[in-house]
Formats: sequence, C-alpha cells, structure tokens
Amino acid sequence: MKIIFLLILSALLLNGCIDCGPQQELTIQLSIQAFPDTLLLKKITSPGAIDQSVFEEQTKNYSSKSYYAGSFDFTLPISLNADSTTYIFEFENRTDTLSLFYSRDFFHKDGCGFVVDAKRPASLTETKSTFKDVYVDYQSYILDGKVPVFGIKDGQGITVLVSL
Amino acid sequence: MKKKILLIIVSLVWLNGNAQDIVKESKPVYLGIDLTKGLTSYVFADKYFIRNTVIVEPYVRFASKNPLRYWVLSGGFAKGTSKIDTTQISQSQKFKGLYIKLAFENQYQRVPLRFGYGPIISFSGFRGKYTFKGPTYGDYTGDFKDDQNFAFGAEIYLAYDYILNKKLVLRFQARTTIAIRMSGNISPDYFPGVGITKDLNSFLVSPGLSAQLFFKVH
Repeated sequence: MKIIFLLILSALLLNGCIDCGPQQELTIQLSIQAFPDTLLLKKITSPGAIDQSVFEEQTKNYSSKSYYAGSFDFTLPISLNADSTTYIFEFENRTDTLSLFYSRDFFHKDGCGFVVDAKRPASLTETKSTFKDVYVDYQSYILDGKVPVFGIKDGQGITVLVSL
Repeated sequence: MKKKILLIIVSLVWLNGNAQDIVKESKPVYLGIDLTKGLTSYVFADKYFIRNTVIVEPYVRFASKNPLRYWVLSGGFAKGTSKIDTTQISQSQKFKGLYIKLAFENQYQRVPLRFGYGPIISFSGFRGKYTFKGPTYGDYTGDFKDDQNFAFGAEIYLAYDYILNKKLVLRFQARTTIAIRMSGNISPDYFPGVGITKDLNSFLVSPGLSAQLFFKVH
C-alpha cells in the first residue's frame, strides 16, 4: 500500500505543475549600476501612481539591503492600465527619469483562470530616459509547459539595467 | 465537432421516435415541471451558488408497455449569474444555456423508488469581467465572452413519487450529471443542464436535489 502511495506521489511530483504567473500587479527588477556609497538616492516616485508607499519602502535603507554584484536592485510595480510606466529618481545631486514601454497581455489559461503578462512593445521604443545607459530584457512572467513542483518560480519578467 | 453534435441529435430523435411509438400503444402520459431549480437562487439570494437565475425545465413522461418502465424527455433553459466570489480574479459569471435530456426510467419492485439514466446535451455561453488588483496604479478590469460552449454527457437519478391525487404527482429527485465539454475556454461556475461546476473545466460533474410536479394528461 505504501509503495503504491509513494509511486503516485512521485508520479505527481515528476509530472509538475502549470505556472500561472503572478496574477497581480506586475513588477520589474531594476538594477542601478554604481559603487557602494556613491549612489545617493533620495527617493523614487512615479507619476500616475495612486499609492507611492511601495517606492518609499524600496528606497528606505536601500544601500544596506539591495546591493549585489556592482548594482543596487529595486523591485518596482508597472501599471496594468497603460502600456508604459514612468519613474522619477531623485539623487542627492541630480534627477533622472525612466519611461518603460511594454505591451500587456491578459488571457485565460487552463488550470489558472485569468493571467496577466507583459511583453516587448510593438513599437521600437523600449525606453525613454535621462540615464546614461538603459538595457531592458523582456521575458515572459509565465513559464510555458509543466514546471517542477518544488522550487517553482514564475517567469523572470522584465528586468532593467541602468547606469548613471 | 459538427458530426458529433449531429450524431447526438440523430440519436435523440431516434429515441424520441421510439418513445412516441410506445405512447401510441400505452398509457399514461405526464407533463411535468421542475419546482426547485428556478426558485432556489431567489429564495437564498447571495448564500446560494447562483443568483437571480431563471431555470425552466419541463418534462414529458411516457409509460412503456412494461408498467414499471417510463421514458422521460425534457428540455431546459437557464439564464442567470453565479455567486460573487471576491477571492477570484473573475468574481462572477453570467450564463445562458439550452439543454435537452432523455431518461429511461425503471421502478424498483421492492422499494418505492425509480431509477433513471440517460443522455444530456447542452449549449451554453458565459460572459463576465475579470479584475487584477492594482494597489499602486489602480485595478485593471477586462471583459470576457465565451459564447460557444457545447457539452454532452449523462444524468442518473433516483426519484420518489408522492401521489397527490389522481392527476398530480410530486416527485423528489436526487441526481448526478456528468458531461464532457467539447468547446469553450472559461471554467464555468454553473453549466446549464449540468449544475454547479465551479473550478471544473473539460470534465463536468455535479450532483443535485430537486422536486418536480407531474400532471397526468392522458
């Protein structure tokens, strides 16, 4: 009896799950390349946001928490009501803006219900920015096919790398 | 797909034809109507699985040569809304559908119960809205429309007939309906003809209790 139970369990685990993605307001991973103690970020704001608290949380004590391999990492939400989101970065001695463009995709996925994804925009413009360099990587937020039961992660989504 | 629908319709027509032959030779014939399906959603309001739902399900019941056997042919129409579920991205669905059922019914000799089984086909459509919460930039709400759903399957039931008088019979029924959905995308909260099917997709199964009133016409 135990063996049958173990066989069924291992079959289920090997078979994997369907990835539904975040099914909520999507976020991007933004990395600002800078040396420690040189990034004097005061605050991030976003025009059009009805609640700025997530930006305040991200910038609070950012230098002690989010420095990794030469860049400061932030998790910022994107608007599901528009095909672009603008962020304003206020530093000690300068202010930069970044407008990120994307195309939203809402659809029904079997086993998940309604899901949301954001992809590369149809137009050639990916960003408008005052930063020196901006690089955007568009990956789906939802993984295709079956994914392992353990260590399950959604798709990588959009990542942005900027340098001052 | 069209072939499958045609095959089912032809089988139903054939069965119906046979049923009519039986009627010519034997009696009686009953006309019936479901009493509970259409009312429950109004009586229990938001506590029940469906809200403001009109369900009309009439029956014709023919006796066969064997007095213990009957044929029951029915059609149905359902139009309503599913209960609001705030935990879901799509909180509620509007549904509309038409269905046809046929049952072969046998009366047990030792207990006062009838056992019936037979095919069902249903054509249904679903509409609604879905909302992704946007705590930072505001919620996004979209519409969906899934109008062409077709399902076929079978219904089995146990019924107890309470004879009110010479003409009227009150029937209490416990049933289970299973169906396979051949088209459509949205997971239906309520599939007309099948019943409550929340979180089910291709394979639909739904049990239920109901009461029906039959009137002897022949």
